[in-house]
Amino acid sequence: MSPPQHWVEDSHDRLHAEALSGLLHAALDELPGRQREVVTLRDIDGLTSEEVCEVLDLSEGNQRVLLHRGRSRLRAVLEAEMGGAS
Amino acid sequence: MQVVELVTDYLEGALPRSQRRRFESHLRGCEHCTEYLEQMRITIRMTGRLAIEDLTPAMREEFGRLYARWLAG
Repeated sequence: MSPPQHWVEDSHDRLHAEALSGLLHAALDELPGRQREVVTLRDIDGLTSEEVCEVLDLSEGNQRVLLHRGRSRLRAVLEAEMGGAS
Repeated sequence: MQVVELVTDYLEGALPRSQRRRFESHLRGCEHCTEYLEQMRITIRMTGRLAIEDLTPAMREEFGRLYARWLAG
């Protein structure tokens, strides 16, 4: 097992930073609808979990499962690009 | 790997205390899982920097409808 690599989050290389952003945006677009909705409302719009449950008519548990799956997928996409722990 | 499954629950503060302690104890001894958690935090931060304007027109429409329904009560 290769050692984990530390991700560089804020790239000094502006083109690289924009490429990563584009990658993430594309990956978000490809998520199943409900996962995309939860991730967008939570992590982009900053709604609380209670608010998201209300908007999407979800139980807390369901919301968390969708959030988990969506975020896990996005992490995997970034990992494929940047390398590191899996 | 349990950290992979529990990471969202942990970040949401949804783990029962005993489970959270086991989780954190594991992290202290495991560089791999510590890195995984950090990657998840970075993923969330980077997602947060995607602006609404970056979304496709279809996605913006989707969220516009959701919000309109929500505000209509």
